[in-house]
Amino acid sequence: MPEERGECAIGRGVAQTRYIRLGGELILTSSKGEHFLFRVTGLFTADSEILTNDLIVLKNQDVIEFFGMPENRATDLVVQVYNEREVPVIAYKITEMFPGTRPITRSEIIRTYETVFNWRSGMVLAMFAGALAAFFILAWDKATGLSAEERKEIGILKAIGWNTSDILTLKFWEGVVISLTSFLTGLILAYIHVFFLGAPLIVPAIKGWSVVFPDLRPFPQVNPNHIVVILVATVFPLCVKHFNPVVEGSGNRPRYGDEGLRLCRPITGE
Amino acid sequence: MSAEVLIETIEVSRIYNPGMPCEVKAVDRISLKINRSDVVVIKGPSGSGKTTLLSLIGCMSRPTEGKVLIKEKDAVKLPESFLTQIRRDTFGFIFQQLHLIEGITVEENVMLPMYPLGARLDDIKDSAEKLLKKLDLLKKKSYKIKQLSGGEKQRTAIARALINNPEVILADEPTAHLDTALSEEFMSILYDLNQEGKTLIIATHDPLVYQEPYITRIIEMRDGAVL
Ligand SMILES: Nc1ncnc2c1ncn2[C@@H]1O[C@H](COP(=O)(O)OP(=O)(O)O)[C@@H](O)[C@H]1O
Ligand SMILES: [Mg+2]
Repeated sequence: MPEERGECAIGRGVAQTRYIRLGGELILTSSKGEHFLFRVTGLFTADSEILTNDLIVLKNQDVIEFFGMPENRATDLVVQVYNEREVPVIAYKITEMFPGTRPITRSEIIRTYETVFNWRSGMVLAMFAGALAAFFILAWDKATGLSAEERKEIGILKAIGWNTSDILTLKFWEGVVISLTSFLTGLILAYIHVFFLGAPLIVPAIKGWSVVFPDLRPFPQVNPNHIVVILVATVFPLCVKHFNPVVEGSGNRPRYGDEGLRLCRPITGE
Repeated sequence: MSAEVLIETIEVSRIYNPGMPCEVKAVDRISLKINRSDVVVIKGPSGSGKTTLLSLIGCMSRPTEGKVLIKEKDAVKLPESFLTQIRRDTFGFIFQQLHLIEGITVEENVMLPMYPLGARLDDIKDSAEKLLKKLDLLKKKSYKIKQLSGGEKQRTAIARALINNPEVILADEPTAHLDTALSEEFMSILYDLNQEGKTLIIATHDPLVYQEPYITRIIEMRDGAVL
């Protein structure tokens, strides 16, 4: 934090755009065209980057001079209250005494930030939910039986001499190959998206649209637990779903009839 | 010298929906003997039971009554897995609707019946190529089924029926979707197969088929019975 006039503390985004380091000089031009020079005595740490990236902190007098404000004018005042429970009462009294002001309590600020982040994660969640829904619709579709085409194919295979077990083996491997391929494709795409492209699709939602973007790079982390969970939650059911109705379908005998080859339920003790 | 009896049906019947108002006697107590290397045509109008009889002979469905003997073995009482084995060792089917699998290539379709025999993939490929060559389809082996003409589809179905080198070929209305030239071509392919010793059983009501001179026997059907 600046101790004296002519000093400033800046966020990392400001430091980077202006190529200044700690101890360097920040030159700002006021609306009247005057240049002001400040020595950088403080740099906000990366931890608070999301909030402080585009921040410049000056001493009071410097701010007043820079913006050409009257001496006794302030835009924001900090009021510290020792008894936390008094806060709402004092805020209320301030509004009563100075009708033009708007007191914001700390809990309100926290709540605001929370809503902002909740809103963003909500968006991500909404997109994610869409993908999840698509997945379950697909799985459901597989689970609720064979399509006419699949029935026909199984009928053909049976008619040309395939056993039920041959067909089951085929369908099982088909299921394994399909779900593993899609799982791996998804995983690789996600990996490329996050680690090589810097997650362009989700980063804006996480860090917001600040004027000076914090250089937020997603931290490369592959969690084996997550992978196992995703694997179990997607590949396994898809395999089973793929496999299951076939057991049902190929138990039937092929029937070879005028309208084409159909599978029909046994009629007399077959 | 008496010829070897390959297939025999004894009083065989197939009743659909028995005991219901819509009961149909599709095949009604038919007895026949088919010798090795015979060319048998089952002739009759639509609905007379030709397809049903073919499927009984080919062990694709079980009779309601009667017996089907394949090389003197009663096939009716065999469990499903044995039937499958008889089907693939003895019969090659050419279906009326061809029943090729659309999504895969000509060669893959032809190879399909051979997979369950547990042969090596190379051997399966070799057999398929030999047949495709014989049927003048080698150039089209990597085509998808929907890219083929009607005659090419038909020949693919023939190749598939032949790959396990069956003793008997069953064909159901094989010329129904072919023009005269293609029908004649098909019949000449069948003739060649018969010359190699294959037994042919063809269900049809196409005169072009049943007037062929090399046919040994015509069985006429009406309402499930042999006339
Ligand atoms: N799955 C079935 N269920 C009920 N009736 C059938 C079935 N298949 C065939 N039929 C009936 O059996 C009779 C003989 O049919 P089919 O053997 O297909 O004759 P074809 O091949 O000579 O036209 C027809 O009356 C037909 O309607
Ligand atoms: Mg028919």
